[in-house]
Amino acid sequence: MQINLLVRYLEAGKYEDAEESYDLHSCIECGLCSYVCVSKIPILQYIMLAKHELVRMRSMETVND
Amino acid sequence: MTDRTKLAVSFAPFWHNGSRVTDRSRQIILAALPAALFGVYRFGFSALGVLALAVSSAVLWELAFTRVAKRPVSVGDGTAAVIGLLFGMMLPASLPWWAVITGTFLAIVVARQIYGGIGANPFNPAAVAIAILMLAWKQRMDFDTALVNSVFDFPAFFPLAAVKAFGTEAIRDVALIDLFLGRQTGGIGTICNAALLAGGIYLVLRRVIRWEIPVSFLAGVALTAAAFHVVDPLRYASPAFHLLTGFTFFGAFFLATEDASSPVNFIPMLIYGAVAGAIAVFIRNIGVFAEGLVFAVLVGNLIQPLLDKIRPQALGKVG
Repeated sequence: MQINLLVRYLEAGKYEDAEESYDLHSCIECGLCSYVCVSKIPILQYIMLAKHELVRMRSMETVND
Repeated sequence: MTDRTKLAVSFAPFWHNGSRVTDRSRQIILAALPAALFGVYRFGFSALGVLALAVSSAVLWELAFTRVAKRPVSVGDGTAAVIGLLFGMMLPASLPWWAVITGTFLAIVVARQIYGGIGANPFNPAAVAIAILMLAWKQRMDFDTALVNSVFDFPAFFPLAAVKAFGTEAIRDVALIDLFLGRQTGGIGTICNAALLAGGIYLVLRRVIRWEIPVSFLAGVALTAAAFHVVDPLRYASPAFHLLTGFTFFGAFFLATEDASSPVNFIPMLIYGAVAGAIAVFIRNIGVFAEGLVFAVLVGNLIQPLLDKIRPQALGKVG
C-alpha cells in the first residue's frame, strides 16, 4: 500500500476515498510506518481513526434505513 | 494491589527509530558543503557572501512567515537552511544582495510556505526561485556576463553558452578532466563535479536520497545528448560534456531528489529522473536557455503526481 498518499487522504478526512483507492483496509496495524516516519506523523492513529469512523458511518446508515 | 498503569497497553509503535528531519537536513548540508567551499575557493569572498546571505535570508524568511501566519516555528528542522544553501549554490558569485534576498523569498514563501510548508511543496523551492530569477534578471543570471570581471587561469566562458552560440568547435580545447575537477565557470556550488559526486554518493549511502533518481537522471541526460551528438556532432556536444557542465550533477543529486516533489516507487522514480534529464538536454540543445536544467526539474515535479499513480496493487483486492 502507498502510505505516503494514504496519509494525505486521511489528514484531509477523506476516509471513503482512502478506502476505495488507497487500500485502507489492507493495513494490519503493525505500526512500522509510524516507527520510521521522519516527520513523526501519527500515521497509525490516523488509520485507526479512519477505520473507526467508517464503521460508525456505516452503522448510522443502517440505523437510518 | 496491582498497579493499573503497568497493565495499560498502548498502540503498536512503542518506540521510534529516532530519524528526524533535522538529521536529514544536516546530512544534505554536509554533502553539499565541499562543492560550496570549492566555489568559495574559486570565486573568492563574493561567493561566500552570496552563500551566507542566501542561507541566512532563507532562514529569516521562514521565521518571519511562520510568525505572521501563526504556524509552529519550523526553522529548527533545517530545511530552510538547506533550501537557502542549494539556492545559493546555483547563483553566479557576483549576484547583488537584493536579488539573493528576493530569490530566497520566492523559494521559501512563494514556493514552499504558501503551499503548506515542509512536505507540501509541489515543486522544488530552490529550482522555482532560480527559474523565476532567470526569467526576471536574465543578464544578472547569465554566467558569462556576471563573471566578466573575474580572472581565472582557465578559459573563462560558460561552456554551455559557448556550445549553444558557436557549436562544438568552441569547446574543442576544453578537457573533460578539467570540467570534472571544477576548472570551469558556472554557479558557485555547481562547478566542482568531483565534490558534487562525492556528496551525492554520501547521501545515497546514508539513505537520505534514493539512487534511482540520480542514476536515471544522469542516464536521461547522457542518452538524449548522445542522440543529438550522433545526428549533428558539429552543433551538439558529446554526452560526457553535457554530464560535466552546468547544473547536471547538482540537479541529479540535490534538485531532483527533493523529498516532497519526487516520486517514491521504483518505476516512477526511473521515469521521473529520465524525463527530467532528457528535457534538460532538450532545453540546452534546442531551447532558448543555455542552461535550462531547473526548468526540466520543474517539469519532472509537475508529472510526479501522475507517476505516483503507478503503484503496486494490494494483494487480493477485487475490482
